[in-house]
Amino acid sequence: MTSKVKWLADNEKSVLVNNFEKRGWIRGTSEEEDWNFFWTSVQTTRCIFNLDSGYRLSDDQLINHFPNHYELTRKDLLVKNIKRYRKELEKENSPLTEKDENCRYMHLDFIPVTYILPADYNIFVEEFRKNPTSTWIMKPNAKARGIGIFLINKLSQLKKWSRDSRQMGHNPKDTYVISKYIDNPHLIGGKKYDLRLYVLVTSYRPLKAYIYQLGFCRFCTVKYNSAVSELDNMFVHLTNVSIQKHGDDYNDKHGGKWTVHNLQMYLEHTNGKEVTDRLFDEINWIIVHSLKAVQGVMASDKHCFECYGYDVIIDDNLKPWLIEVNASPSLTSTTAADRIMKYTLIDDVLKIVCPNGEIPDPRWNKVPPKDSMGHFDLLIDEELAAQDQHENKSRSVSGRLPRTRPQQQWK
Amino acid sequence: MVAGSQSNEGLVKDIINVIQASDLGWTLKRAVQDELSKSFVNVKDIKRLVPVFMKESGWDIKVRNVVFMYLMTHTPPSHPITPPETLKEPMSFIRNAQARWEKRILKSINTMCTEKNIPLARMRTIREQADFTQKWKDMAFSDENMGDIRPVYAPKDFMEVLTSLSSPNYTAKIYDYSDVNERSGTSVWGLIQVRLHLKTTQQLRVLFSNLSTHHFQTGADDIEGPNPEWQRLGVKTVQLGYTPTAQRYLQQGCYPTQRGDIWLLALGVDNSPLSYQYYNQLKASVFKYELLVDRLFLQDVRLTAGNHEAYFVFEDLVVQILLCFSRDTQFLDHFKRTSASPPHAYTRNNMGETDHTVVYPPNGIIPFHGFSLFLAPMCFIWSDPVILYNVFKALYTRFFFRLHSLSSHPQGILSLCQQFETMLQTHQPQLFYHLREMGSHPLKHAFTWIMHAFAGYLETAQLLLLWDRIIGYNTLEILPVLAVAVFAFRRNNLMEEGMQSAEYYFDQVRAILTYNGNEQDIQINYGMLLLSILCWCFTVLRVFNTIPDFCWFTFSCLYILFGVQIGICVFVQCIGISGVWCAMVGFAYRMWVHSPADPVLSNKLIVFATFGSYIWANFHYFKTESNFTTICHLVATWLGYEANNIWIKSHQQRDERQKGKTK
Repeated sequence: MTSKVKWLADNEKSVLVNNFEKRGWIRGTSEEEDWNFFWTSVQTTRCIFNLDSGYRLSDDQLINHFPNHYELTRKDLLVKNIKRYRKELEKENSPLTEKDENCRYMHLDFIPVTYILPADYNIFVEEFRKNPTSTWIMKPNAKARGIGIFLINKLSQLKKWSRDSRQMGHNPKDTYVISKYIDNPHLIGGKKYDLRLYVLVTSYRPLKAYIYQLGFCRFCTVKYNSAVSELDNMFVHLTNVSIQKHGDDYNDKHGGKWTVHNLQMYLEHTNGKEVTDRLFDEINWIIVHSLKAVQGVMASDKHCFECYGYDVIIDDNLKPWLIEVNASPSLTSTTAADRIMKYTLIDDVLKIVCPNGEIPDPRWNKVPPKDSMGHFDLLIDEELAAQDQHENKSRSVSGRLPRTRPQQQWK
Repeated sequence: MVAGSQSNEGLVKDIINVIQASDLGWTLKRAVQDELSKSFVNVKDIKRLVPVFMKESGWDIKVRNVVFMYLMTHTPPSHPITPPETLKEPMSFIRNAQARWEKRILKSINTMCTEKNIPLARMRTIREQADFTQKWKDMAFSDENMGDIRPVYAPKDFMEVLTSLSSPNYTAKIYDYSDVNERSGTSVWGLIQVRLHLKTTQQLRVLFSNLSTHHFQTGADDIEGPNPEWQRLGVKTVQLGYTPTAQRYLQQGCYPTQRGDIWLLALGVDNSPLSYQYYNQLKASVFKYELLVDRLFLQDVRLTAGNHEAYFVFEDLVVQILLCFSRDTQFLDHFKRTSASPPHAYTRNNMGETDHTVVYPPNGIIPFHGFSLFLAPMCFIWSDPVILYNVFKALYTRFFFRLHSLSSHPQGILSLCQQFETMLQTHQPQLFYHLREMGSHPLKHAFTWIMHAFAGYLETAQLLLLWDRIIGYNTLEILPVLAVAVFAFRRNNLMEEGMQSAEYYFDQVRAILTYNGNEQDIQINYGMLLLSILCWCFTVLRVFNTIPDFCWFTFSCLYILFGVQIGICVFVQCIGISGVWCAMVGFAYRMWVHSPADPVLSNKLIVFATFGSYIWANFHYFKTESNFTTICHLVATWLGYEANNIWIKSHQQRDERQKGKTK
């Protein structure tokens, strides 16, 4: 006879609470000890794992963030980690570091050129002078939902900003990243969009990650225009729902959200299946690379899992670019379809991390049976890959890379 | 024979005219001229060389495709003295109804004009033209203030017209028991009162024989992954370039990657530079003039495609194409083949006098609510507006125009609706009757599906697979077939509606009596029931004087016992009939104890066997089931025993009274 799982959550989002109640779980009472499953905000996680609190998770407790998730989800750290990952691979002479004639990585060039300000200011200026017509996007490091983002195309704008912010008495610790703006996004119906994909990581060492089939595209409400005069119009450039919601043309029936299935179908019709399959393969690889880049530094606590929101932009050559990773993708629903999708997302996450809705057991090898993965597809499981390789040792080992299953996605 | 060859000659002449008037004729002529002007060509050989050149350069395939398309879309020439209105629609009452319907639409447009004070058409000022051009570039039609323009008509209004239509020289004499008082015996079961000649199910089976399950079907047989052989065949079809082959290919559906090419081939659409020019002309006329129907289109897109979760992305593209569509006078051609006629408006000259009549809107088509859904799904296939426009034109003039005009054509909406109702009545009579009784007539649901060709109702991927088949079979008759199939597929859910409580209790009683199909329980319990009845016979029979009295008593006892058992089971959610035989054994046991003297040995054996099995069965359930079950068994037995006590006492009293009376 197993006792009921006790849950806690930092927010009372209905998609969470309904899922817990559906499983017959009961609400925990104190944040101190009396819980088995805690859906926290990143702040609470930080408190819990803080050395000062002296609190240690017991065996039957599960939490939805890794202690240092910011290695992946903070814009500057992500860039740093990926740069280091590339160097490491180069040291190993990995075939992945292959470069084309323009000295660009063929497989690892998946985030726009990015510098951290003010630290990298001089390198940035050098780069900018090489290519003075380019547009750059400034993002505050630790803010989400499109807050504080602006575009620049002249060095003087940057200088003015730095002067202004000093005058305004901003905290100099408020670092920004400046990235090359992707000014040739792929357009559908004349509008810019980006992809929001959900990725569940249950363990970093060995790496076990799943990708959610029901991701979506977020569309701008206004036709895309790369003209300089529109540089200040955030409705043209930013796809964040929290921004678009305030546009005049925001439609609350569909919320500007298009399913990945629709995107896939559109691309297969207009560009052919091969190109489409390659694009979605590349997206899967981007995710795998980004996770492997932080694998070494992430504290792989067995009590943790994390569901990331990946933001990906596709340019007009159908090359995907990783923009950023969110540790707490929004669970607020804008439309009816959105609510169903997010409810299913949480349901499927719980199916994988808490099989049968029972009390978590950290000794479990975290290999869910195939039929309990819901709408998640296995992206990478290094443990299974190692087993496979072991079994196939007699055969020629073709996989230089861990086995992933990027095919059969979004079917 | 003579007339036949004459008409053939006419046909050939028509086709030659069509080719000469098309882009194809022009480019073909130039290609042939270029070829013949080469130095090695001898004048004598021209006659021989031209066909060879045509074949070698692939021109003959294009000409063949045009001829095929012409023959497929044009009905064979009719008798020369047929009046033109009969050609449009042979049945006068339908023709008149269509005319009345058009008048109604026109009237409501005129009312809209006067109420909102908007002119039917006007030229934009230079400044407005510049503004509008900018808006077109930005694709920002959603800014346009539409006011409270409402669609001229919705599918529901059109359905009312269809259902109110009845033939003056035909009355359906089906006696309708449920309507005895209202419309004594003159209504048909369906909503459509007109009876048109339809294909039988057998004919449909032959027509759609390639849809049968032993053929590969895209979208159904490839859940595991695309069929590579079918893909290869698709590539080959595109390479071959024959329209009939492409159509045949589409009968089994095609994959997204090839859909664009194959549809163009199967619909005979070639996107020549001339069609781009033509589209630009239409665009120019959109910039120049403002029409009232523009607002209707804009409003329709905003209400339907723009709100749709899959099509909203293409909102502005759809608006652009539909605005060009409204200016295209080439659509007037298709009115020769339909019962509908384009509405007319009067233009006024500068003096304010009525000058002459023009078709309004220029293409003669007034949109209804959901019109943009004919176009929106195709935006998934191409992103070039000109290709989209050309394909939409082909699809509309071949199929979709039939879905919003009254006609007796076998593919007209009237026939499709009747086909739907007849098929549903034939193949799902209970379902049809049930829904009709519930007051939600099947056609009321299916009508919008059919009128929109399922656009907006099916997921886009499935919808395009359906439209594959429409193009492949060159008929809309697949729409009612699919609608019937949807009803048949959802039959159980639909039947449950309103029947739920009765169905629920029926299921429960069945579960109680059959132990949910558990065979061991059935054998034990019905075996015990049989034994206890036998035992009952040998013990209770002696008390009665006559056999009928005994039977009557036994049956009423069984009746009561079963009633009590089912009642208790429904109440406490248990299953089984063990209470019945327990009570009977209890009754028989008391009887046996009361008067054990039975002379026949075999009877004794059966009675003892019954008691033995009773003990064994109770022991068995004591081991396998919860204690509650055994307690219930014992209680039932005790009740039977006590019932016998009471019964015997009352029996004795009655006997004594009778004895007293006789004394």
